[in-house]
Amino acid sequence: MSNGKNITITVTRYRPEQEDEPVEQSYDIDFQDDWVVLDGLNHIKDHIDGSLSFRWSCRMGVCGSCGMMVNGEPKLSCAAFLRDYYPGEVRVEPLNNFPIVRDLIIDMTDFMDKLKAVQPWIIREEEKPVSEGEYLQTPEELKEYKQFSMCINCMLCYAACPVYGLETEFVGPAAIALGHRYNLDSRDEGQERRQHVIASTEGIWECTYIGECSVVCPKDVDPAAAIQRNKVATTGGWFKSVLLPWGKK
Amino acid sequence: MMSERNTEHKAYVRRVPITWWLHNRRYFLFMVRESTSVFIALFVLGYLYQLFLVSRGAEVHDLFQESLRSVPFVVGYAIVLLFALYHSITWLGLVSKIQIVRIGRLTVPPFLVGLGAYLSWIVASAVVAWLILNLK
Repeated sequence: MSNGKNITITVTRYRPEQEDEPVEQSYDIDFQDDWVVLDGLNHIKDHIDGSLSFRWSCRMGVCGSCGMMVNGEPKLSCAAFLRDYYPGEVRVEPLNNFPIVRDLIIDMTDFMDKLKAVQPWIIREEEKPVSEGEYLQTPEELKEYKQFSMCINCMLCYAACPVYGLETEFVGPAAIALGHRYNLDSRDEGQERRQHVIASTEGIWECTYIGECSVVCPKDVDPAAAIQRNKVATTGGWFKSVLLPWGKK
Repeated sequence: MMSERNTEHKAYVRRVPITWWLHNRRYFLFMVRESTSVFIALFVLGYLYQLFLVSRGAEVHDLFQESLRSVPFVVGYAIVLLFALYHSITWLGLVSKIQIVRIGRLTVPPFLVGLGAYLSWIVASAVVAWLILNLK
């Protein structure tokens, strides 16, 4: 099984019933070349310390559950290979900018509230009956939003965003990118209803375009671009409404 | 509901350290870009002061003009120019990531959008320079 390689994984531990603040705990493990950080953590949990707590599910970069700070960078732990860190140490911490509930588990309530606030679903003024069939879309219309639909809600972008860490009211990269995704969808009619969240002070205008959210995104969603494009569109819309007599109110 | 439950669990809140921008090269370069604005603001303040001196008469203004030729001013303005160039180049470099340009059904490739932004900047700068040097 083992390839003879041994690596030290240092993990943040926080057990609120016995610690006031997080501490570190190191584990030496033998690993195989195809092991990712998540495999290492599962090995620790299964064979060394069953009390270690962390989230994971699909193990294939789809569910977005296993986001963690790996050597200081937000990563999906199922996509970070231990061999890439060998022979160095691997330091695994909970995602930055979120409260720690236990060990590597963060409290994602704030993100979920903000995600819900942008209404990331198709909104229709009036639903047509099922008997009339699907809402058809051309490949060009699909291409408009497809990139932004790849978001898996892993929250790595929030962990990478110092603005979110400093200004917790900031709606944040993923929520805005997903709102943008639906605004671009030809089937959607809900842009006006999202605008009070996306174009608010706590929305796009809080962003200073550091751009790290797009760098760490495991799905190349580019939330930073979504935010800046919303700034341009919102500004253009405002000028139109003010300057042009036929401008949209 | 969720918040109450987490309070029971004593969720640990971490603070962002004041040195967050030293964490990686990209954060650092962002801060460099932002701080260049300070130098541009200083230049604008100097320019506004110069306009103010115009209202005080030709003699006062000429004296100030003369002082602009001194070494400290020349060095200062050279530094401001460097920072202004850095800010402009990096700012325009972001245009192609933000602005989607369409001509009919064709989407202009991002590198052409970026190129257009740089060329527009150069042309606009050349026009301003020509006006300053040729209009009396």
